[in-house]
Amino acid sequence: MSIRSLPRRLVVSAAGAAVALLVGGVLTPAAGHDPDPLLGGGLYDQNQVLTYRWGGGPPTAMRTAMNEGVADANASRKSRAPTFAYNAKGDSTVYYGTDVPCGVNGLACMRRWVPDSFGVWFRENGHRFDWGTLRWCELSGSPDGCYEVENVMLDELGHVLVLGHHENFANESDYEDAVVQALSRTKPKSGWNAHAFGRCDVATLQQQYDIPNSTSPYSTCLEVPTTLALSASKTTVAAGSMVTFTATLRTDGSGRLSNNLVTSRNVVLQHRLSGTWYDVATMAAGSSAGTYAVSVNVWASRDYRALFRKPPAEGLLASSSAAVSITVSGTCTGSACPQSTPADR
Amino acid sequence: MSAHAVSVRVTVLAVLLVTLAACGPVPPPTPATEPTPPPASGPGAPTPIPDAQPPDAILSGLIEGNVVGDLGTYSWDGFVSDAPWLTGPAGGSTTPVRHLAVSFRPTPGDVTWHVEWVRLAGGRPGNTVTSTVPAFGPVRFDAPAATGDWSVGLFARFGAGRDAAWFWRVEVAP
Repeated sequence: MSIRSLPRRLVVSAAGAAVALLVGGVLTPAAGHDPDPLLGGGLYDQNQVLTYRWGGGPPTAMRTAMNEGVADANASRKSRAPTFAYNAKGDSTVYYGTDVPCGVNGLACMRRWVPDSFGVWFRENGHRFDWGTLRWCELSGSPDGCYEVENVMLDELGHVLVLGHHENFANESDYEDAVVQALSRTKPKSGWNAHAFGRCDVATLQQQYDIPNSTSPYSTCLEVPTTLALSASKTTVAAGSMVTFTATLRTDGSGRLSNNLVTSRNVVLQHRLSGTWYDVATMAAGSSAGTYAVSVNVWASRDYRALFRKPPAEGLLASSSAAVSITVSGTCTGSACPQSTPADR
Repeated sequence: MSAHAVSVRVTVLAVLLVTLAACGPVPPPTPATEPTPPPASGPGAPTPIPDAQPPDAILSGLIEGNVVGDLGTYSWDGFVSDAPWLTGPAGGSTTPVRHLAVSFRPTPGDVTWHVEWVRLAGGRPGNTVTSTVPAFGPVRFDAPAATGDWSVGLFARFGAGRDAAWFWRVEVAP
Protein backbone atom coordinates (compact mmCIF):
# COMPACT_ATOMS: atom_id res chain seq x y z
CA MET A 1 0.00 0.00 0.00
CA SER A 2 1.27 3.40 -0.84
CA ILE A 3 2.08 5.78 1.92
CA ARG A 4 -0.14 8.41 0.35
CA SER A 5 -3.15 6.14 0.11
CA LEU A 6 -3.26 5.67 3.83
CA PRO A 7 -5.66 7.50 6.09
CA ARG A 8 -3.07 9.90 7.39
CA ARG A 9 -4.91 10.87 10.48
CA LEU A 10 -7.51 9.19 12.55
CA VAL A 11 -9.53 11.12 15.00
CA VAL A 12 -7.85 10.84 18.32
CA SER A 13 -10.37 9.41 20.69
CA ALA A 14 -10.76 11.32 23.89
CA ALA A 15 -9.03 14.21 22.24
CA GLY A 16 -8.17 16.02 25.39
CA ALA A 17 -6.45 13.03 26.92
CA ALA A 18 -4.58 12.28 23.73
CA VAL A 19 -3.45 15.84 23.38
CA ALA A 20 -2.27 15.85 26.95
CA LEU A 21 -0.40 12.66 26.21
CA LEU A 22 1.27 13.80 23.06
CA VAL A 23 1.90 17.46 23.41
CA GLY A 24 4.16 19.27 25.74
CA GLY A 25 3.65 22.81 24.61
CA VAL A 26 1.20 25.66 24.84
CA LEU A 27 -1.85 24.58 22.90
CA THR A 28 -3.95 26.65 20.61
CA PRO A 29 -7.23 25.72 18.98
CA ALA A 30 -6.90 23.73 15.79
CA ALA A 31 -7.24 25.78 12.67
CA GLY A 32 -9.48 24.50 9.95
CA HIS A 33 -12.01 25.51 7.40
CA ASP A 34 -10.07 28.69 6.96
CA PRO A 35 -9.05 29.99 3.57
CA ASP A 36 -5.70 28.70 2.40
CA PRO A 37 -2.75 30.67 3.78
CA LEU A 38 -0.70 32.84 1.48
CA LEU A 39 2.64 31.97 -0.02
CA GLY A 40 3.74 35.57 -0.13
CA GLY A 41 5.72 37.15 -2.90
CA GLY A 42 2.97 39.35 -4.27
CA LEU A 43 0.21 38.86 -6.76
CA TYR A 44 -0.12 38.74 -10.48
CA ASP A 45 -2.59 41.12 -12.08
CA GLN A 46 -6.27 40.35 -11.96
CA ASN A 47 -7.30 38.13 -14.88
CA GLN A 48 -3.74 38.15 -16.18
CA VAL A 49 -3.01 35.41 -18.68
CA LEU A 50 0.13 33.51 -17.76
CA THR A 51 1.54 31.65 -20.73
CA TYR A 52 3.61 28.51 -20.42
CA ARG A 53 5.65 26.27 -22.64
CA TRP A 54 6.97 22.77 -22.19
CA GLY A 55 10.32 22.00 -20.70
CA GLY A 56 12.05 18.63 -20.68
CA GLY A 57 9.83 17.15 -23.36
CA PRO A 58 6.88 15.67 -21.47
CA PRO A 59 5.25 12.73 -23.28
CA THR A 60 1.88 13.24 -24.88
CA ALA A 61 -0.09 11.67 -22.02
CA MET A 62 1.70 13.94 -19.58
CA ARG A 63 1.02 17.04 -21.66
CA THR A 64 -2.63 16.12 -21.96
CA ALA A 65 -2.97 15.66 -18.22
CA MET A 66 -1.10 18.88 -17.48
CA ASN A 67 -3.33 20.79 -19.89
CA GLU A 68 -6.38 19.30 -18.21
CA GLY A 69 -5.05 20.58 -14.91
CA VAL A 70 -4.69 23.99 -16.48
CA ALA A 71 -8.28 23.85 -17.72
CA ASP A 72 -9.41 22.84 -14.24
CA ALA A 73 -7.64 25.82 -12.71
CA ASN A 74 -9.09 28.23 -15.23
CA ALA A 75 -12.61 26.86 -14.82
CA SER A 76 -12.68 26.66 -11.04
CA ARG A 77 -10.83 29.78 -9.88
CA LYS A 78 -14.19 31.58 -9.33
CA SER A 79 -12.30 34.81 -8.97
CA ARG A 80 -10.26 37.29 -10.96
CA ALA A 81 -7.14 35.24 -10.44
CA PRO A 82 -4.92 34.82 -13.49
CA THR A 83 -5.60 32.14 -16.06
CA PHE A 84 -3.08 29.92 -17.78
CA ALA A 85 -2.61 29.31 -21.49
CA TYR A 86 -0.16 27.25 -23.47
CA ASN A 87 2.06 29.15 -25.86
CA ALA A 88 5.14 27.72 -27.54
CA LYS A 89 6.91 30.96 -26.67
CA GLY A 90 5.35 31.34 -23.26
CA ASP A 91 7.11 33.15 -20.46
CA SER A 92 6.74 30.28 -18.03
CA THR A 93 7.88 26.66 -18.10
CA VAL A 94 6.10 23.45 -17.21
CA TYR A 95 8.79 20.81 -17.04
CA TYR A 96 8.76 17.02 -16.84
CA GLY A 97 11.84 14.90 -16.42
CA THR A 98 14.78 13.94 -14.27
CA ASP A 99 16.39 17.31 -13.80
CA VAL A 100 14.12 19.03 -11.33
CA PRO A 101 14.82 21.41 -8.45
CA CYS A 102 12.26 19.73 -6.19
CA GLY A 103 14.70 18.59 -3.51
CA VAL A 104 15.42 15.02 -2.57
CA ASN A 105 11.84 14.01 -1.86
CA GLY A 106 9.66 16.27 -4.00
CA LEU A 107 7.25 14.81 -6.53
CA ALA A 108 6.63 18.17 -8.09
CA CYS A 109 7.58 21.71 -7.29
CA MET A 110 6.86 25.28 -8.24
CA ARG A 111 8.46 28.69 -8.32
CA ARG A 112 6.68 32.03 -8.68
CA TRP A 113 8.20 34.98 -10.49
CA VAL A 114 5.66 37.74 -10.02
CA PRO A 115 4.67 39.63 -12.11
CA ASP A 116 5.51 37.75 -15.28
CA SER A 117 6.08 34.05 -15.01
CA PHE A 118 6.38 30.84 -13.02
CA GLY A 119 7.92 27.41 -13.22
CA VAL A 120 6.38 24.02 -12.48
CA TRP A 121 8.43 20.80 -12.43
CA PHE A 122 7.24 17.19 -12.37
CA ARG A 123 9.59 14.37 -11.41
CA GLU A 124 9.86 11.57 -13.95
CA ASN A 125 7.61 8.55 -13.73
CA GLY A 126 9.34 5.60 -12.08
CA HIS A 127 11.71 7.72 -10.03
CA ARG A 128 12.95 5.76 -7.03
CA PHE A 129 12.68 7.56 -3.73
CA ASP A 130 13.62 6.19 -0.33
CA TRP A 131 9.89 5.81 0.29
CA GLY A 132 9.10 3.98 -2.94
CA THR A 133 8.67 4.43 -6.66
CA LEU A 134 6.83 7.38 -8.10
CA ARG A 135 3.91 6.42 -10.30
CA TRP A 136 1.97 9.01 -12.23
CA CYS A 137 -1.50 7.58 -12.91
CA GLU A 138 -1.68 8.85 -16.46
CA LEU A 139 1.59 7.15 -17.36
CA SER A 140 1.40 3.91 -15.46
CA GLY A 141 -2.03 2.39 -16.06
CA SER A 142 -3.50 4.09 -12.99
CA PRO A 143 -2.67 1.51 -10.32
CA ASP A 144 -3.61 2.10 -6.72
CA GLY A 145 -0.99 4.25 -5.09
CA CYS A 146 -0.39 6.43 -8.14
CA TYR A 147 -0.52 10.21 -8.17
CA GLU A 148 -2.74 11.91 -10.69
CA VAL A 149 -0.92 14.45 -12.82
CA GLU A 150 -4.06 16.49 -13.45
CA ASN A 151 -4.70 16.85 -9.73
CA VAL A 152 -1.09 17.65 -8.88
CA MET A 153 -0.95 20.17 -11.72
CA LEU A 154 -4.00 21.90 -10.25
CA ASP A 155 -2.26 21.90 -6.85
CA GLU A 156 0.89 23.46 -8.32
CA LEU A 157 -1.08 26.10 -10.21
CA GLY A 158 -2.81 26.98 -6.97
CA HIS A 159 0.62 27.66 -5.54
CA VAL A 160 1.47 29.76 -8.57
CA LEU A 161 -1.59 31.89 -7.89
CA VAL A 162 -0.39 32.47 -4.27
CA LEU A 163 -2.02 29.64 -2.34
CA GLY A 164 -0.15 28.01 0.51
CA HIS A 165 -0.91 24.56 1.89
CA HIS A 166 -4.34 24.30 3.46
CA GLU A 167 -4.52 23.63 7.19
CA ASN A 168 -6.87 20.73 7.82
CA PHE A 169 -8.77 19.67 10.86
CA ALA A 170 -6.95 17.02 12.87
CA ASN A 171 -9.21 14.32 11.46
CA GLU A 172 -8.93 15.74 7.94
CA SER A 173 -12.68 15.82 7.58
CA ASP A 174 -12.17 19.01 5.60
CA TYR A 175 -9.49 17.61 3.30
CA GLU A 176 -11.60 18.07 0.19
CA ASP A 177 -12.11 21.74 0.96
CA ALA A 178 -8.76 22.30 -0.73
CA VAL A 179 -6.69 20.84 -3.51
CA VAL A 180 -3.62 22.73 -2.34
CA GLN A 181 -2.53 20.30 0.36
CA ALA A 182 0.77 19.59 2.08
CA LEU A 183 0.27 15.90 1.33
CA SER A 184 -1.51 15.00 -1.87
CA ARG A 185 -3.43 11.76 -1.85
CA THR A 186 -2.94 8.76 -4.06
CA LYS A 187 -5.54 6.67 -5.77
CA PRO A 188 -8.02 5.59 -4.47
CA LYS A 189 -8.26 7.76 -1.39
CA SER A 190 -10.89 10.49 -1.55
CA GLY A 191 -9.61 13.65 -3.13
CA TRP A 192 -6.85 11.95 -5.13
CA ASN A 193 -8.48 13.01 -8.40
CA ALA A 194 -10.10 16.33 -7.51
CA HIS A 195 -10.37 18.42 -10.64
CA ALA A 196 -11.51 21.74 -9.23
CA PHE A 197 -10.17 24.08 -6.60
CA GLY A 198 -11.80 23.45 -3.25
CA ARG A 199 -13.88 26.06 -1.51
CA CYS A 200 -11.01 27.14 0.75
CA ASP A 201 -8.68 27.46 -2.24
CA VAL A 202 -11.30 29.62 -3.91
CA ALA A 203 -11.78 31.65 -0.75
CA THR A 204 -8.19 32.85 -0.78
CA LEU A 205 -8.28 33.50 -4.51
CA GLN A 206 -11.37 35.64 -3.99
CA GLN A 207 -9.74 37.48 -1.10
CA GLN A 208 -6.63 38.20 -3.11
CA TYR A 209 -8.00 38.71 -6.62
CA ASP A 210 -11.67 39.56 -5.99
CA ILE A 211 -14.77 37.84 -7.30
CA PRO A 212 -15.59 37.95 -11.02
CA ASN A 213 -18.67 40.18 -10.77
CA SER A 214 -21.43 41.31 -8.46
CA THR A 215 -23.55 38.21 -9.06
CA SER A 216 -20.75 35.73 -8.34
CA PRO A 217 -21.16 33.61 -5.23
CA TYR A 218 -18.71 34.01 -2.37
CA SER A 219 -16.96 30.88 -1.21
CA THR A 220 -18.56 29.20 1.78
CA CYS A 221 -15.07 29.03 3.27
CA LEU A 222 -15.44 32.78 3.83
CA GLU A 223 -17.58 34.79 6.20
CA VAL A 224 -17.83 38.14 4.52
CA PRO A 225 -19.82 40.80 6.37
CA THR A 226 -22.33 42.81 4.38
CA THR A 227 -24.00 46.17 4.74
CA LEU A 228 -27.41 47.29 3.60
CA ALA A 229 -28.49 50.87 3.03
CA LEU A 230 -32.15 51.75 2.57
CA SER A 231 -33.78 54.86 1.19
CA ALA A 232 -37.40 55.77 0.50
CA SER A 233 -38.81 57.88 -2.32
CA LYS A 234 -40.88 59.80 0.24
CA THR A 235 -40.91 59.77 4.00
CA THR A 236 -44.05 61.82 4.61
CA VAL A 237 -47.11 60.76 2.65
CA ALA A 238 -50.86 60.58 2.73
CA ALA A 239 -52.49 57.31 3.64
CA GLY A 240 -52.57 54.88 0.73
CA SER A 241 -49.69 56.51 -1.11
CA MET A 242 -47.10 54.45 -2.89
CA VAL A 243 -43.56 54.62 -1.60
CA THR A 244 -40.62 53.10 -3.39
CA PHE A 245 -37.91 51.68 -1.21
CA THR A 246 -34.42 51.13 -2.58
CA ALA A 247 -31.76 49.09 -0.84
CA THR A 248 -28.09 48.76 -1.68
CA LEU A 249 -26.20 45.64 -0.64
CA ARG A 250 -22.40 45.72 -0.33
CA THR A 251 -19.71 43.58 1.16
CA ASP A 252 -17.92 44.82 4.22
CA GLY A 253 -14.95 42.50 4.17
CA SER A 254 -11.30 43.32 3.97
CA GLY A 255 -9.07 43.99 0.99
CA ARG A 256 -10.62 43.00 -2.30
CA LEU A 257 -13.81 41.96 -0.58
CA SER A 258 -14.66 45.37 0.79
CA ASN A 259 -17.37 47.58 -0.62
CA ASN A 260 -18.30 45.21 -3.44
CA LEU A 261 -21.81 45.63 -4.76
CA VAL A 262 -23.77 42.41 -4.38
CA THR A 263 -26.44 41.63 -6.96
CA SER A 264 -29.05 38.91 -7.46
CA ARG A 265 -29.51 38.04 -3.81
CA ASN A 266 -32.65 37.78 -1.73
CA VAL A 267 -33.35 41.08 0.06
CA VAL A 268 -36.64 41.71 1.81
CA LEU A 269 -38.38 44.83 3.04
CA GLN A 270 -39.63 44.68 6.60
CA HIS A 271 -41.70 46.93 8.79
CA ARG A 272 -41.96 47.08 12.54
CA LEU A 273 -45.11 46.42 14.52
CA SER A 274 -45.06 46.48 18.31
CA GLY A 275 -41.31 46.19 18.31
CA THR A 276 -41.12 43.17 16.02
CA TRP A 277 -39.98 43.16 12.41
CA TYR A 278 -42.16 41.46 9.79
CA ASP A 279 -41.47 40.79 6.14
CA VAL A 280 -43.45 43.04 3.82
CA ALA A 281 -42.16 42.10 0.40
CA THR A 282 -39.21 40.67 -1.43
CA MET A 283 -37.27 43.43 -3.14
CA ALA A 284 -36.66 43.02 -6.85
CA ALA A 285 -33.44 43.79 -8.67
CA GLY A 286 -32.92 47.53 -8.90
CA SER A 287 -31.75 49.65 -11.75
CA SER A 288 -28.06 49.24 -10.99
CA ALA A 289 -25.76 46.62 -9.58
CA GLY A 290 -26.24 45.88 -5.93
CA THR A 291 -29.59 47.65 -5.68
CA TYR A 292 -32.99 46.23 -4.82
CA ALA A 293 -36.34 48.02 -4.99
CA VAL A 294 -39.96 47.55 -4.11
CA SER A 295 -42.97 49.88 -4.10
CA VAL A 296 -45.69 49.53 -1.52
CA ASN A 297 -48.80 51.45 -0.53
CA VAL A 298 -48.51 52.69 3.00
CA TRP A 299 -51.51 53.19 5.27
CA ALA A 300 -49.98 53.94 8.61
CA SER A 301 -46.80 55.40 9.99
CA ARG A 302 -44.21 52.69 10.27
CA ASP A 303 -40.49 52.03 10.48
CA TYR A 304 -39.10 50.08 7.54
CA ARG A 305 -35.81 48.33 6.98
CA ALA A 306 -34.18 46.05 4.43
CA LEU A 307 -32.93 42.65 5.49
CA PHE A 308 -30.42 40.33 3.88
CA ARG A 309 -30.48 36.88 5.39
CA LYS A 310 -27.36 34.75 5.28
CA PRO A 311 -27.59 32.54 2.20
CA PRO A 312 -27.14 28.85 3.01
CA ALA A 313 -24.76 28.17 0.14
CA GLU A 314 -22.63 31.26 0.17
CA GLY A 315 -20.05 32.89 2.41
CA LEU A 316 -21.89 36.16 2.95
CA LEU A 317 -23.14 37.19 6.36
CA ALA A 318 -26.55 38.66 7.08
CA SER A 319 -27.16 42.37 7.49
CA SER A 320 -29.99 44.79 7.93
CA SER A 321 -30.29 48.44 7.13
CA ALA A 322 -30.99 51.26 9.52
CA ALA A 323 -34.69 51.92 9.94
CA VAL A 324 -36.40 54.43 7.69
CA SER A 325 -39.48 56.03 9.22
CA ILE A 326 -42.44 56.72 6.99
CA THR A 327 -44.93 59.20 8.42
CA VAL A 328 -48.46 58.82 7.09
CA SER A 329 -50.96 61.64 7.40
CA GLY A 330 -54.72 61.23 7.24
CA THR A 331 -54.60 57.76 8.66
CA CYS A 332 -57.13 55.54 7.05
CA THR A 333 -60.28 54.80 8.98
CA GLY A 334 -63.59 53.26 8.10
CA SER A 335 -64.70 51.03 5.24
CA ALA A 336 -62.45 52.64 2.63
CA CYS A 337 -59.42 51.17 4.29
CA PRO A 338 -58.05 47.88 2.98
CA GLN A 339 -58.74 44.96 5.28
CA SER A 340 -55.28 43.68 4.71
CA THR A 341 -52.41 44.96 2.70
CA PRO A 342 -48.85 43.84 2.53
CA ALA A 343 -47.80 47.10 4.02
CA ASP A 344 -50.22 47.29 6.88
CA ARG A 345 -50.80 43.95 8.44
CA MET B 1 13.52 45.52 19.59
CA SER B 2 13.47 46.21 23.29
CA ALA B 3 16.36 45.42 25.58
CA HIS B 4 14.13 42.93 27.32
CA ALA B 5 13.38 41.14 24.08
CA VAL B 6 17.07 41.03 23.21
CA SER B 7 17.82 39.65 26.62
CA VAL B 8 15.19 36.96 26.26
CA ARG B 9 16.47 35.95 22.84
CA VAL B 10 20.04 35.78 24.05
CA THR B 11 18.94 33.68 26.99
CA VAL B 12 16.95 31.34 24.77
CA LEU B 13 19.89 31.01 22.41
CA ALA B 14 22.21 30.22 25.28
CA VAL B 15 19.85 27.59 26.64
CA LEU B 16 19.50 26.09 23.21
CA LEU B 17 23.25 25.88 22.73
CA VAL B 18 23.75 24.30 26.14
CA THR B 19 20.96 21.84 25.44
CA LEU B 20 22.41 20.88 22.09
CA ALA B 21 25.85 20.46 23.57
CA ALA B 22 24.44 18.24 26.32
CA CYS B 23 22.62 16.06 23.85
CA GLY B 24 25.75 14.82 22.17
CA PRO B 25 27.01 15.16 18.65
CA VAL B 26 24.67 16.41 16.02
CA PRO B 27 24.94 15.05 12.52
CA PRO B 28 26.09 17.62 10.03
CA PRO B 29 23.25 19.47 8.38
CA THR B 30 22.06 18.43 5.01
CA PRO B 31 23.88 20.52 2.44
CA ALA B 32 21.67 23.29 1.20
CA THR B 33 21.93 22.28 -2.40
CA GLU B 34 19.33 21.42 -4.99
CA PRO B 35 19.46 19.34 -8.13
CA THR B 36 20.60 21.15 -11.18
CA PRO B 37 17.63 22.99 -12.62
CA PRO B 38 16.44 22.33 -16.13
CA PRO B 39 18.36 24.36 -18.66
CA ALA B 40 16.71 27.63 -19.45
CA SER B 41 15.91 28.17 -23.08
CA GLY B 42 14.44 31.06 -24.91
CA PRO B 43 13.92 34.60 -23.76
CA GLY B 44 12.54 35.07 -20.31
CA ALA B 45 13.20 31.51 -19.19
CA PRO B 46 13.12 31.42 -15.39
CA THR B 47 16.00 30.39 -13.23
CA PRO B 48 14.56 27.70 -11.00
CA ILE B 49 17.16 27.59 -8.25
CA PRO B 50 15.51 28.17 -4.88
CA ASP B 51 16.91 31.20 -3.09
CA ALA B 52 16.57 29.64 0.32
CA GLN B 53 15.38 26.50 2.00
CA PRO B 54 13.93 25.44 5.33
CA PRO B 55 16.39 24.82 8.14
CA ASP B 56 17.46 21.41 9.32
CA ALA B 57 15.17 19.97 11.97
CA ILE B 58 16.96 17.98 14.65
CA LEU B 59 15.08 15.53 16.85
CA SER B 60 16.57 15.17 20.32
CA GLY B 61 15.65 12.94 23.22
CA LEU B 62 16.26 9.68 21.40
CA ILE B 63 18.42 7.10 23.12
CA GLU B 64 20.97 7.18 20.32
CA GLY B 65 21.24 10.95 20.28
CA ASN B 66 20.07 13.50 17.80
CA VAL B 67 18.76 12.81 14.31
CA VAL B 68 18.21 15.24 11.45
CA GLY B 69 14.76 14.76 9.92
CA ASP B 70 13.98 14.07 6.29
CA LEU B 71 12.58 17.19 4.69
CA GLY B 72 9.28 16.59 2.93
CA THR B 73 6.82 19.13 1.59
CA TYR B 74 7.82 22.72 2.08
CA SER B 75 7.06 26.27 1.01
CA TRP B 76 9.85 28.76 1.33
CA ASP B 77 10.05 32.26 -0.07
CA GLY B 78 8.06 31.59 -3.21
CA PHE B 79 9.34 28.08 -3.87
CA VAL B 80 7.21 25.04 -3.10
CA SER B 81 8.19 21.37 -3.17
CA ASP B 82 5.40 18.82 -2.70
CA ALA B 83 6.42 15.48 -1.26
CA PRO B 84 4.59 12.54 0.33
CA TRP B 85 4.66 11.31 3.89
CA LEU B 86 8.20 10.09 4.45
CA THR B 87 9.02 7.23 6.76
CA GLY B 88 12.06 9.11 7.95
CA PRO B 89 15.64 8.10 8.62
CA ALA B 90 16.11 4.98 10.69
CA GLY B 91 18.20 4.72 13.82
CA GLY B 92 16.22 6.40 16.55
CA SER B 93 14.64 4.72 19.51
CA THR B 94 12.98 5.82 22.68
CA THR B 95 10.96 4.58 25.59
CA PRO B 96 7.19 5.14 25.79
CA VAL B 97 6.07 8.66 26.58
CA ARG B 98 9.66 9.89 26.68
CA HIS B 99 10.05 13.60 26.15
CA LEU B 100 11.25 14.54 22.69
CA ALA B 101 12.10 17.89 21.18
CA VAL B 102 13.00 19.35 17.84
CA SER B 103 15.33 22.26 17.26
CA PHE B 104 16.08 24.02 14.02
CA ARG B 105 19.39 24.98 12.54
CA PRO B 106 19.59 27.78 11.65
CA THR B 107 16.85 29.03 13.92
CA PRO B 108 14.10 30.39 11.67
CA GLY B 109 12.16 32.38 14.26
CA ASP B 110 8.71 31.86 15.71
CA VAL B 111 7.09 28.58 14.84
CA THR B 112 3.61 27.12 14.96
CA TRP B 113 3.66 23.36 14.74
CA HIS B 114 1.97 20.03 15.24
CA VAL B 115 3.15 16.46 15.01
CA GLU B 116 1.55 13.29 13.73
CA TRP B 117 2.51 9.74 14.55
CA VAL B 118 1.94 6.86 12.14
CA ARG B 119 2.58 3.29 13.22
CA LEU B 120 4.86 1.36 10.87
CA ALA B 121 4.27 -2.24 9.91
CA GLY B 122 7.11 -3.96 8.14
CA GLY B 123 8.74 -0.63 7.64
CA ARG B 124 5.66 0.80 5.95
CA PRO B 125 3.06 3.09 7.49
CA GLY B 126 0.09 1.35 9.01
CA ASN B 127 -3.27 2.73 9.99
CA THR B 128 -2.78 4.02 13.50
CA VAL B 129 -2.32 7.73 13.41
CA THR B 130 -2.48 10.32 16.13
CA SER B 131 -2.22 14.04 15.73
CA THR B 132 -1.62 16.90 18.10
CA VAL B 133 -3.33 20.24 17.83
CA PRO B 134 -1.23 23.18 16.66
CA ALA B 135 1.05 24.73 19.25
CA PHE B 136 3.17 27.84 19.23
CA GLY B 137 6.74 28.00 20.44
CA PRO B 138 9.31 25.35 21.29
CA VAL B 139 8.70 21.99 19.66
CA ARG B 140 8.34 19.55 22.53
CA PHE B 141 6.20 16.44 22.57
CA ASP B 142 6.12 12.93 23.95
CA ALA B 143 6.66 9.59 22.31
CA PRO B 144 3.61 7.36 22.00
CA ALA B 145 2.69 5.15 24.91
CA ALA B 146 2.43 2.12 22.65
CA THR B 147 5.61 0.28 21.72
CA GLY B 148 6.55 -0.49 18.15
CA ASP B 149 7.89 1.19 15.05
CA TRP B 150 6.56 4.65 14.38
CA SER B 151 7.02 7.43 11.89
CA VAL B 152 6.61 10.93 13.24
CA GLY B 153 5.97 13.95 11.06
CA LEU B 154 6.51 17.51 12.23
CA PHE B 155 4.51 20.16 10.39
CA ALA B 156 5.75 23.66 11.11
CA ARG B 157 4.96 27.18 9.98
CA PHE B 158 7.40 30.03 10.34
CA GLY B 159 5.32 32.94 9.16
CA ALA B 160 3.95 34.00 5.82
CA GLY B 161 5.07 31.80 2.99
CA ARG B 162 7.26 29.52 5.10
CA ASP B 163 6.18 26.07 6.14
CA ALA B 164 7.81 22.67 6.08
CA ALA B 165 7.37 19.06 7.14
CA TRP B 166 10.08 16.75 8.50
CA PHE B 167 9.91 13.06 9.29
CA TRP B 168 11.70 10.58 11.54
CA ARG B 169 11.41 6.88 12.13
CA VAL B 170 11.28 6.10 15.82
CA GLU B 171 11.21 2.75 17.57
CA VAL B 172 9.37 2.85 20.89
CA ALA B 173 10.56 0.04 23.15
CA PRO B 174 10.06 -0.65 26.86
